[in-house]
Amino acid sequence: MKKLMIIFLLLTTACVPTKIVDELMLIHATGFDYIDEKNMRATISVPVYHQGSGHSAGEQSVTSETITGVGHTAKDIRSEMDSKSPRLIENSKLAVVLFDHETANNGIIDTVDTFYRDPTVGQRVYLTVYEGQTRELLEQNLSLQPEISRYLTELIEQNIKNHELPKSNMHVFLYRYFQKGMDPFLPYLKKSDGQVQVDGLAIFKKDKMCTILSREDSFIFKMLVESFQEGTFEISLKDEEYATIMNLSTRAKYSLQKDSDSPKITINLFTKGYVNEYSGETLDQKKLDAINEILEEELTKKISTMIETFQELNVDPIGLGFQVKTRTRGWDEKEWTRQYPDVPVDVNVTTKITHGGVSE
Amino acid sequence: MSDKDKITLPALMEEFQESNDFHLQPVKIGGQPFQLFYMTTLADQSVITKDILPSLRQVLTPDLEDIQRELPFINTVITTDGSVIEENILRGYLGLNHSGADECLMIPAKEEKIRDITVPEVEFSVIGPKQAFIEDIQTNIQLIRRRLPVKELKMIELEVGSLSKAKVAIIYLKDIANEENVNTMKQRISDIDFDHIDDSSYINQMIEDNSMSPFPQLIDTERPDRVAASLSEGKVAVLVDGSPTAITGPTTFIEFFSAFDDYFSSWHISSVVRVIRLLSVAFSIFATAIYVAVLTYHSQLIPKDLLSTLIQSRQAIPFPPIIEALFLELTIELLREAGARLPTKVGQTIGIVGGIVIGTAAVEAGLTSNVLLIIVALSALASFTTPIYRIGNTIRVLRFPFLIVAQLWGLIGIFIGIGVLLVHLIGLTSLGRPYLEPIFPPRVADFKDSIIRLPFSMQSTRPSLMRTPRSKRFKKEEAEKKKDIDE
Repeated sequence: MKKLMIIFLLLTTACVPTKIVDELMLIHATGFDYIDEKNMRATISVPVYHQGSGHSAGEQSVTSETITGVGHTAKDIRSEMDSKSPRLIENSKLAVVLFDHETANNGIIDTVDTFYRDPTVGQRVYLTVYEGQTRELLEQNLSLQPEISRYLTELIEQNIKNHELPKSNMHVFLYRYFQKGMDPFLPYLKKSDGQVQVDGLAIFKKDKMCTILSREDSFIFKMLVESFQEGTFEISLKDEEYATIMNLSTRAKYSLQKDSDSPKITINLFTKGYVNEYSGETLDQKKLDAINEILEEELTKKISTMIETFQELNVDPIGLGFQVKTRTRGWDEKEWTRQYPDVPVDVNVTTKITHGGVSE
Repeated sequence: MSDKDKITLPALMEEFQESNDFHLQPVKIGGQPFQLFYMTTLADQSVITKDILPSLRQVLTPDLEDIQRELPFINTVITTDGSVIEENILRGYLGLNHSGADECLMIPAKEEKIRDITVPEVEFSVIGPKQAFIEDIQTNIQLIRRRLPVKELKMIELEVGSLSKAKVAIIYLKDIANEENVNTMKQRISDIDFDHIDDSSYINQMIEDNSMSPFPQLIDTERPDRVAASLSEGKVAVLVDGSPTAITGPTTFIEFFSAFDDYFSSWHISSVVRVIRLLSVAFSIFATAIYVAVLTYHSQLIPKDLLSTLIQSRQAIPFPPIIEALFLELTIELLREAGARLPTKVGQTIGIVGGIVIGTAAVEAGLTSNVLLIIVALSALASFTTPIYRIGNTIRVLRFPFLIVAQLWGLIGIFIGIGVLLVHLIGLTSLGRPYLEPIFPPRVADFKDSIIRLPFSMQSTRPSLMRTPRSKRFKKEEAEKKKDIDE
């Protein structure tokens, strides 16, 4: 009888409202544009599935459509969008959130927060800054991949995995945002000739964008924040000669000297790779040594300049403050912020060119 | 039995004569009138005419004991007990008595009509022995004894069923099987109070530890080799006259998924196959339920690349996923049931009609999505990989409660279902031994022949589940020393 009661109770409980996947409007990408201080415009990109010839059509039968709304907050905009949508709008498949340049300059944490609090949104959503109007971008059907959100996710994913973008998603952004002694960064995209291009890295101070690193700089930046295996780097030698270093693997080690009141940071960067392309004539051991030396010099110079720039802007995307914090008892954030612009940073780069590539 | 209840021979005769197949034949032995009586439908007529009647003619003294000595038969009985006479007549014996006397000689003349030993059909194996039990218990015991020619093989015979009087034999290896298991089995079978036992599956259901459970708790097999192997592990087997399947126990849940083939191929291969089989069972139970749960509640779990395939295949379908899934699942069950009921040749047609025509048509008509069709077909296929037929049925039925909870509460429902299922399985026992062993209670040593099968050289002990008095199958060290393979 007891068992029967339990079954009975279970069956009479109200059911959870269903959200059947093909009856939803699944947002794949959202873009935020700045209108004025109080208002912003949001554009969502939803996929449209064409019941085409079926089997053979495959991927091509998915395109995207957009819905836009203007309002003060994300929730406000949502209700406007709901009034334009034939089906229930659902955040669960959101993959990319875009901010235009102006919105990024004015702070994005309020918007990110609404996504962060939504349990259906994954932590691996890509947040990005786009140089122009995000609405224009999302309305486009680009030839490489007609579904724009898919294009953008694949673009960012590919560049993080193989190229100069450091790992970046909502989780990383929020971690760096909330962690003391660290500032976040996001990929910066631009449009070029009917295609979208990764144009470097947007560096944030708290949640406001303050500077943009070029693609080359963001590669060097990537060396400092994470270790990776398959980088490519081009250096120019004297006499108009160029060499490309392939398979560059790097590892950065931070150390701290606390002799005086002010800490002194040393960055030891180890890189290893081989020369794959060389525009000069012969590539012998002597030449390799020379390339090695130039590479070391160039990296040291570039890293030092980059850190100086960061210090001038009083922004710390590398997380030097965090490195100091983990090595100091009773670390004080305020004091660090005061010290940061003048902290001496030593950069030691050790490179190793393993061989000059394989040729006949 | 008091004298009053005792059946007298004349009363017995009278009652027998109500049935037309009872035959009474007067014969003269040594000049005295005797009568020969038997059931024509049970006794072998040729034995009577060829062996019994000529022998009787040679007997000179009209004395039953002399006749018994003269007859070329063993197992003859002289009795005055009416109930023994009744029982024997009904087993195909001939009765012979001096007209009017109570004393009666019973001569066995049973007509044996048994089919040949055939290839196992339910538990077919590509390699290995190809013998299956038949309906005759003598033959079945013979098949087992041939595989275990040791005097330790003991047999307890019982009779079950007030109408069927089915002969039941409990078979075990003395000193290897735990006495407790044998006694439990004996106790449970002799406690059965039922009029008609047709098959060992009746007994199987009646002696199970928990008859409310959908899970079978004793293995039923038609393979004598499997029974012999089980006996040598320390299990107890039960054979029932008239049934071509034997029951063995105690057993575990995992054992239901080990085919006897597994011992015939090399251990790597059979381990892989066993793991595949277990995974396919999990797939069979959960795949459709997960499909329904994810499509109804958890769109965020669908991988990006799969989303368009899923949505496109579902776009034209007017039903929610649960209706679609139930429709397909029931279709598959219908096909299976129709295939099982129909003769083999028509059954094949049903397979084609169901598989190709209904499947394709349902997708083209927009009643089901092709993704679900694949999932349902695969999970039906997966449920047929179970070597023991009964557990396959259990698994197919289990899918439906999981579908329902998936619709009610999504993945949370499925996990509640898994919880309930696990609690149930952990509570189950087989002849009082834990059903989920070696997973729970954890017995690392018993894993050697459960989810995977290790080589025979590592199977030196019997499963600890059996609590056998002789746990060593062979002495491992000696076996290693003796092994002489030239390198």
